[in-house]
Amino acid sequence: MTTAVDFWIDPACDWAWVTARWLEEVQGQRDIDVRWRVMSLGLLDDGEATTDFRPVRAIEAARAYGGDHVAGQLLFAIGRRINVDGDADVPALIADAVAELDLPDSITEAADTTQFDAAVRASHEAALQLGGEGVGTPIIGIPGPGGERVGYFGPVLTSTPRGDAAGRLWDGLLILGSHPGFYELKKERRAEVVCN
Amino acid sequence: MQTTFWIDPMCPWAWITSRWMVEVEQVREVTVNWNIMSLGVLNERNDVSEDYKKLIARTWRPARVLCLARERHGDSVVFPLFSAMGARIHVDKRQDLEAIIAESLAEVGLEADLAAAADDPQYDDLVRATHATAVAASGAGVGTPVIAIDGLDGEPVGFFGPIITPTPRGEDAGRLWDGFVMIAQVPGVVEIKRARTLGPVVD
Repeated sequence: MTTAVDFWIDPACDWAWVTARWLEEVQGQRDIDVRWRVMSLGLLDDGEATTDFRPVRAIEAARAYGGDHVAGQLLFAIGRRINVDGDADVPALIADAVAELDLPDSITEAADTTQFDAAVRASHEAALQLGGEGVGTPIIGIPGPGGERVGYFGPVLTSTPRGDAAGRLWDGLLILGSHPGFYELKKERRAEVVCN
Repeated sequence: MQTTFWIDPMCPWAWITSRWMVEVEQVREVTVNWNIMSLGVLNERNDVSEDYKKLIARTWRPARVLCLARERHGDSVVFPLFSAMGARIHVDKRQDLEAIIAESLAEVGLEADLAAAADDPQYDDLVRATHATAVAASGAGVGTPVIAIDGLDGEPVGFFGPIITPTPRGEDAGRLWDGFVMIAQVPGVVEIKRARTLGPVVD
């Protein structure tokens, strides 16, 4: 049976990027269906859009245009440019990602408008609803006790597990998430985050 | 599998996780090496409220007694003495530390004079030293409990947590252990968390 997963990310967050790459790896190993969604570092920090809203607006524009699958593709195309290539020219990298996927220019243009801000905020709120306040990005929504949804911040990773390790992390997360009162597991972030 | 488990006897979350470990020992091939850490040391440099400071000041007392008891009698006294204290503090919800300590020492068959360590700061170095072994396992900036197992490469991996409530029992406890081991042994995992919607449920 396919397991539905929700994954909320701000593609500008390198930690969230590493986790997204892990979940992408899990897609090849387990029967999961990921709905790639957005949340915003800016909304997390102080409730104001202090960080760049343009990438998440573009992703929501892509969702309105072509659905969740297209939104996921654009999320990865943008995230790779920011986190792997180290590209800092946000308007250019959005335009480039949109072109790579043969999506209409209107998506690039929408990133400079407030047209999709309500969609971004609603998506962000849905993430906090599930994972709770006071956490961060990414948030993952998985089947919890009795099949209801449960959300966690993380798993936060310093590097992306590949192959068998990726699958084991998924299996372990499902088990912990199925315990009604599992709240936290944490260690110090001693290593620098590695994006690829 | 061997695991090392560090607790402060005053922490209700650590208490719940410790009772989970006791369950795990029944249903999995796991041996727990019980160890001591300190809320007092954890919060020494933190900016906390006056009320919390008072609470934290109290936590030094059982920790000192536990540390001196281990110094005299070895690691095997940590679990029974911690459990005797914890049952009174968390299950019976008592506050009278002096009586709790005296009764716990008597229950475990240890000398009554160990209780004097509770108010003697000369044992703080023992508390700090054992706390440092927990921080070495999980890294700084976390809390109690800390748990460590061997990674797949044989090197120990330590985490703060798992924070859970209420205590999983029987096979549920075993499954949670299996999940914990799967996750802990994946290199690079540093945090999984959600906002706590329930307080610690001690049963």
